[in-house]
Amino acid sequence: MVKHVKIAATAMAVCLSMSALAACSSKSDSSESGGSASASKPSISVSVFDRGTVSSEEGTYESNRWTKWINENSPTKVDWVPVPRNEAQTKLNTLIASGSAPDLIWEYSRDYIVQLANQGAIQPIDEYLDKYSTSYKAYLESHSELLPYLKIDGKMYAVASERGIDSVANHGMWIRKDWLDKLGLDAPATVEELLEVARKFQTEDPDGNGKDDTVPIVFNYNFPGILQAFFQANSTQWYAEGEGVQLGRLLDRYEDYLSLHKQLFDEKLIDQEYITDSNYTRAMQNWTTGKAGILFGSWNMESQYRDLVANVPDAEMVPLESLETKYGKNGLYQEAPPGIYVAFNSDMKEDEIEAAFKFLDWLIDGGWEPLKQGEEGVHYQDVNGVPQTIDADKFKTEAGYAYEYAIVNQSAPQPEWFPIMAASDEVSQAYAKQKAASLETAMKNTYRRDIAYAPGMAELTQLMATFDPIAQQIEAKVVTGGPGMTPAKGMEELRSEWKRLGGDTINQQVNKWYAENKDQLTTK
Amino acid sequence: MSGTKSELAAFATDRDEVIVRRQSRWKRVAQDRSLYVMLLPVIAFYLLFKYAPMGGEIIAFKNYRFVDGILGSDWVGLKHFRLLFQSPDFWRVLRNTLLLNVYSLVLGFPAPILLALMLNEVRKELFKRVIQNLLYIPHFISWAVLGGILIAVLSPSTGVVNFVLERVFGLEPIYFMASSAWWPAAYTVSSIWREAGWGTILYLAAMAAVDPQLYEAAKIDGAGKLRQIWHITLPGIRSTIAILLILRMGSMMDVGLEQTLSLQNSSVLDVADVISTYVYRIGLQNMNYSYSTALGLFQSLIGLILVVGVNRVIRLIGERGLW
Repeated sequence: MVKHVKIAATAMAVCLSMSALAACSSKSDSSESGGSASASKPSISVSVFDRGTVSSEEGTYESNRWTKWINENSPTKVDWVPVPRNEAQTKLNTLIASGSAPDLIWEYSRDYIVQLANQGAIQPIDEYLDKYSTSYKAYLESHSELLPYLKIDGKMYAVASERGIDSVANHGMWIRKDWLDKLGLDAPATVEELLEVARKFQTEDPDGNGKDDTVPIVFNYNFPGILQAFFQANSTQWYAEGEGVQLGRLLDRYEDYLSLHKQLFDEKLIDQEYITDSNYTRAMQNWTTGKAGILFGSWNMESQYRDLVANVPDAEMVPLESLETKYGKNGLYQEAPPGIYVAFNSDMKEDEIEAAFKFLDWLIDGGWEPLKQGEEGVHYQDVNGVPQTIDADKFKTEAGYAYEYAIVNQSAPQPEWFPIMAASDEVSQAYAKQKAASLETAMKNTYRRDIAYAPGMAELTQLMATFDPIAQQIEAKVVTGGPGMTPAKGMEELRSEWKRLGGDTINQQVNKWYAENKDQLTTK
Repeated sequence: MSGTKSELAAFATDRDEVIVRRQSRWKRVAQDRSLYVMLLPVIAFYLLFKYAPMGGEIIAFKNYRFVDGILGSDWVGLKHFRLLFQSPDFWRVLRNTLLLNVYSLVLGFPAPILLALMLNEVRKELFKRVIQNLLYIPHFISWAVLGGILIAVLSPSTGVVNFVLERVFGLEPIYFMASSAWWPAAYTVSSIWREAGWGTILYLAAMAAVDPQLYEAAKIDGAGKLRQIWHITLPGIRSTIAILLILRMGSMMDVGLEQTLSLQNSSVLDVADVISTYVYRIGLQNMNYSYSTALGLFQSLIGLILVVGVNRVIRLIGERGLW
């Protein structure tokens, strides 16, 4: 195995260095085949994230029980090309540059797919979809909200299926219900109430240890995003304002976000050293040791729940719904509907594209089900339509990795499934209940997203990459800078820096792009 | 090579003589052919992995796209360099990079020399070994971990440094890591902390090569410890210092990405945003390969100029340089 990798690496290195002299475009067909399918079947290659979860008894990402199962049952033979998860884009770029990329290339990031399209590495597929696809085409017709995301400059460059709601929901907030009850408070529903509750948590010793040592609010990297969502002003998102679009960071509403963030800091309702707590270890420590009352993070925070209950058995960690401001109530950040984006290598010939669509049709028709759930009676049993895992360890080793292969699927777990799917011990069941409630809470309010995605023009990404660190620093100074640095002054600086970097021209370009593409950008 | 050639030209009055010399040289090569054969893979390695990829530098002058390949992409002349020098934030990033490097050169370069001098004077072998090992340890710890330790140690509420400042000197706590004035200092100290101990190895080896008779002679002449260090040890390791200084100059345009990312935070970006983080953001995250290659080429060019310049200076003051 190691030897294999070494040979492959050497081949790659040689190939790369040769490409310095002449573009190396020989297509390597040496990838191991994953089964003994009949030779008459057409074959394609597809990338797959290597998360290192295939055990050695199971085989490899290229060849295991599921790749064999796919090759026996699908109309197309598939060779899987693993790319390490944590450097997927780099590895894919290398494969593409050396001409040995797989036929189907997929990633979670739409921006990446846009870049591939700009690089000419993938091809538009509109005509082939009509010509060769049946089931996926029908799926797309009934899920037309996916379409704006799949198109780049009016042409369709990728296929995708809809996320289940458990992966649409993202940001979330949690609160200690036992603290609320102890102090006779209701869960906050507005931003003002949040401040009230946080102040009481700070001064009235909710953990009852007689010491003034509670941190009312702790958070992870989602914190600014959650505060910004209250005011419908996500820093990197474009909002339809009046006739055109404006960057969230430059909106008047953004000043409200800065004021709230500053107020939380000035009143010491958040950690005074949050700036250097870049891994959020201090914050999570405060939460799990029962020193904090409100947690801004994700809707699903199982390990924090388990650690907290282990340390403070009486703790009741319950989800908290998004808060109302003078602008109304906005949901917390949710993902856009498409799951992974599957794109077609520009080297693909028409017959290969046909084979690829056959495979995708087969997957979306039901081929995905065993890949997500395992084999019925072996890995799961059907409990009133809910796939209940029989043996968690067996599932994990034998089927836990297979979901990677279901690149399009119709998996849609529901909140009420969680208690049935969870293990039967007390903590797992208690958390499953909260998890279900949290998912419902997270999906209760829709998250404001006026246009499907930001434009991919190079000038804009360049400007954003330059502007972002400057803006971050201004914001940090506003929050931690005391009375000398007001949010209004911060906004002034943000706007003048944006101008200095040539933001006005970019604004015009983005608005022109918006006017031209308006009809395919609307998300509803 | 060129030296022998010009010698040959100067001395060869007769054509035949030159031919004879050439033949004898081939004879020598033939004699040592097995040695030369063993050299071949190394030459091939350098050609293939060090020189051939340099051809790829041409994408700095092209608009590189995957599909077109390195040779097929369009030429754009100096467009990427123009973009680079016109970008208002390139100069900020360049200044930060150079400043951090100057700090670590001025403070960080002498640190291992001082440490090595002190270690060299330790006579208790066990003590010396223990200290040496303790000094080497940080070198083997990743920046992610060291960064966490540094942030904890310098924390205004729970850090030991501020505890001492407050209790002993009665000062207000300072938030070192979030202050644009203090951050470069913390950065430099962290580099010294991690690398100074490791850096002593070469100097200690050079000191071991100094002739012990010199010390004895100096002692007889009545030189004290400091005099011995000044007149014998330091001159003894002068050439090592010179070489290491030249090599250090080659990396004046680099700042470690890992170290910067683990120490920086949003309130110090005006001093902590450096070339490597800039390239990471603009080049790799946005697939701007030509642009980041142009930047890399610029970096290498400045590095080369510095190395050549310092090498010249070192030779002028009578030391042996790299060449």
